[in-house]
Amino acid sequence: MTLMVVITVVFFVVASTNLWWALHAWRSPEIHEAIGKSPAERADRTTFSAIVPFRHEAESVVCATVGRLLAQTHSELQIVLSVGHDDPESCRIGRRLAEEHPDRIVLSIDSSEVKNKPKQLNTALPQCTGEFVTILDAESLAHPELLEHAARVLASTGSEVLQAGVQLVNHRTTWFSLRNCLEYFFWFRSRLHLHAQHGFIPLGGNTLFIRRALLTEMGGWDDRMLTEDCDLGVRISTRGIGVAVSYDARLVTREETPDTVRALVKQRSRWNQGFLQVLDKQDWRRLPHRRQRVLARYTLIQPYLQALTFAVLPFAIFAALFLQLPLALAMLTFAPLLPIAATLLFEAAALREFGAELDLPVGAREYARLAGSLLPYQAVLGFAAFRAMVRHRRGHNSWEKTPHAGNHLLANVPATSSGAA
Amino acid sequence: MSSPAYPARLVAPARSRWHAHRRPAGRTLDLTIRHLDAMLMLAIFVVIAGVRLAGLFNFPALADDEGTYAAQAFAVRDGQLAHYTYWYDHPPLGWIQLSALDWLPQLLFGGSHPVAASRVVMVAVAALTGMLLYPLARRMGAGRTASTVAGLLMAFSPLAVVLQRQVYLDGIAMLWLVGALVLALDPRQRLWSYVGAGLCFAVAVLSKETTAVLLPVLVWATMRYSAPRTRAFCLVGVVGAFALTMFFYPLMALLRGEVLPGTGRVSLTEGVLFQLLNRQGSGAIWEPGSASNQVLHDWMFYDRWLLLGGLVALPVTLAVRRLRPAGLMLLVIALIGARPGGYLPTMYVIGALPFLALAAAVGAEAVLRGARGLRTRPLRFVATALCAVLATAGAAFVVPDWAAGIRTAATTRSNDARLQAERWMAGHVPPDAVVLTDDVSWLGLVESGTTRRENAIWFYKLDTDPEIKPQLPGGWRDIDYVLSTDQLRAAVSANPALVGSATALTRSVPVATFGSGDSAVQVRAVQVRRVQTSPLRSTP
Repeated sequence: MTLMVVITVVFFVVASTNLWWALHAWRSPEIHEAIGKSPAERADRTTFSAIVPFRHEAESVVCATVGRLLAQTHSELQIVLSVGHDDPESCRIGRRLAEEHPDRIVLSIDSSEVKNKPKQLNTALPQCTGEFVTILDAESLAHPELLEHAARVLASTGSEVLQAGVQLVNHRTTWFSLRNCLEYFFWFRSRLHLHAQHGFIPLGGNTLFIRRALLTEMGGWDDRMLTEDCDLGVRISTRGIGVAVSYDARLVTREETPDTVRALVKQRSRWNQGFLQVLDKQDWRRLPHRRQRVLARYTLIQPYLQALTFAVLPFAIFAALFLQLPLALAMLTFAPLLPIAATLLFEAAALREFGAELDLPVGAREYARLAGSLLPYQAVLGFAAFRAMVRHRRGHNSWEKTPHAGNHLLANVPATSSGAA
Repeated sequence: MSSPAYPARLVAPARSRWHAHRRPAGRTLDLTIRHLDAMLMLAIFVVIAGVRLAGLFNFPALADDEGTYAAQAFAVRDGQLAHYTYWYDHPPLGWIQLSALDWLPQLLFGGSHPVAASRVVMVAVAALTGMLLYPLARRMGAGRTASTVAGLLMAFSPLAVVLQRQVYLDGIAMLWLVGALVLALDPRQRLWSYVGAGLCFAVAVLSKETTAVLLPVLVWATMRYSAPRTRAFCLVGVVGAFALTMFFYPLMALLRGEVLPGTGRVSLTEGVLFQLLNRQGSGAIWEPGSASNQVLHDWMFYDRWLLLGGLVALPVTLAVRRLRPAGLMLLVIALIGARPGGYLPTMYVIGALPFLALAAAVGAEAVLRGARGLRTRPLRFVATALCAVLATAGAAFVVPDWAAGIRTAATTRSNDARLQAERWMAGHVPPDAVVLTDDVSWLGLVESGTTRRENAIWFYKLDTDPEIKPQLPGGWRDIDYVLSTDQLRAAVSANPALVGSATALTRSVPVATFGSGDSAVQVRAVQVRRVQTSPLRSTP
């Protein structure tokens, strides 16, 4: 009985706080406006090095990404293609591109035994020459004005780190891609800003700008981490360094969702497991303020909470429906449904804005799919969290890479695009 | 530790004309102004509470509905939803709130009648409602004077004094409704306020279901006063919070297995259908002789001025854009009250009182502002002078009437006969005697231990509640005493279905009488040759 109440309260609190944080951007018109704004200062002097790590990618995908970088309006850019020595096809693509643009493109070949993204990044870092290093995944489509925008934000804020918006855009590919896209929308449009405000931010692995000197001083990425980006964010936060976050719908880096449920589960397992690694690593304990530590711990234990929900919720529903509970308790067990249903309603409102801001078609079918996919999607995420927990406990820390088909290349691309695809 | 890209401090600028009074003041000035607002609100609270507290227990006469809600609040503390079978007549949140609060006055005023003690909670509810009229008026752009006057009009109107003293669900619903509107007009347009507005509105509807008809006005206010960039989210906040909270009512019925009608059980469906269909219409309000017209006369008897003033100001509040939320609320309430063939109970006007007071105050201010804003100086002078003359003349009529009404409310003793009768019964009637009574004395007799709980029978239930049948197989013959009050007599003669109660009345003789005339309270002993002993009386 007491257990029932505790579980119900935990579910309710978790679902409510996650909803409330997701809604950060819409908490008041001022916040909403402040997030969408681009600073006006020009900053032509800033130099960038963009690391593009890739592994077993299709040539068209890599060329599209590099093409977008070459077409940037901000010209002070060095491109560092980062590949592994055991991946001859990628080496070949990289070599060809570097020969075509010897003044702009450098190839970095990582020869460590066990391959993962942070190792590739660390290998590429010494070859970077720009004032700021940025990471663009192979499947990322950067807006031509992205670097110009980043330079302005960095100049106007004086910040050493900038996380710019990333957005999944192929919302019609699979049954879950719409939800996946909306998750990104809530994360980059809204919740990340709250994290930045509180001084604890799990960074993304993509479209991240960071002063090269700082990165070198911090020893680059931790290559034992499955989510080296989250870890880097935590370490930056513990230093009390303010992270700028910008979201300009026009300039977001467009990406694609995983193709299959299996790929989605793998990706989520990796992220969750990465969060758990960062949690265990305990760097977050060095955050200066108590509030930050609470926020950090709460954010990083999300995989556990999700796994718990996945494992316990069916029993809770069963108990509420079929056990003869006292009326008040029976009604209490339904309390977590409130934030869940509210989340769905707010997602509908966000879907409208998502379509309008990113100029993507959103019709009745999308709203229906949004409602229909709620439970199966949560089940998949719950399963992935559960899987991550088990893998983490057993110490399976291998890198499960998400394959990319290039669906976002077909998706609505801004009219200003001049990159070769 | 805020990120440099993010404005560390978001100071809400004045966003539109309708709250242009939010002046960007210096820190000290701002503090004193804030204190002033708080002081004025506190003053309204104190005045409303003071006027209602004087003579609270003695006037007006304790009504049967008050007894019902107070008894249901007692039942909630015992883990039940009602002292008889709960049959979805109203959502239970009203008396659940009452039960959460009225234990305190029950404790403090232990010697008084329990229903009367519950009235103390209603005084607090009315005072809070009046207090909230202040920020509501301010958020519609009214000045401090008009905003204070709104609360004071409600404080002194004898109609409001009388009805807001009584334990009616409408009063509780009004507090939450006004709260919802205050939140929906948040000048800073924060999402949290809209969610709060939806929650408040849900509590209002779950306190008194008829409040639901005002949902369109709340939604309209949200659309009109939220910022375009976050409007969709604000709407979801209001409607979502409302709908999801409301969901718990049918859920409760579902968990109790009482959604659909079935033999031998009550159901939500039947309860709702009863309220929608089976309420007998009380005729057109303007038709002399109709029940609705009688109700209107009752209202006018206590106070015609607030009704008149509010309705005269209604067109002004509708015409002036910033005042429209209040105007629309009052308009919907007035139209529904005036619809011919509708059911119009006396307490209906409780829902209108805050908005009548608000409309009268802010409407008058708008007219005065209009007069002062006239182009030419002579015109301005004449209009302002006209306003002043009108106000003085109005006050000359209103003040004496209100003073008399408040004096009546403070000094009249309408409950003495009932209290004497209950006290007499404590000394003369054994606790295991079966007593038929109205719901006010039901609680009085039961809580004082005069009559055992299972032996006190609310007259209304004798003929309507199947749960009573096995308890009293002989019907009226199993009754020993009738505590006959004017309310019981009126209800029995008005409702032909109450055969058992009517028979018990006619087949009984008075053994003690208190008071005189129509309002006399009698203890009557039922005269019947018993065919069998009531199982209730065969206690070992």
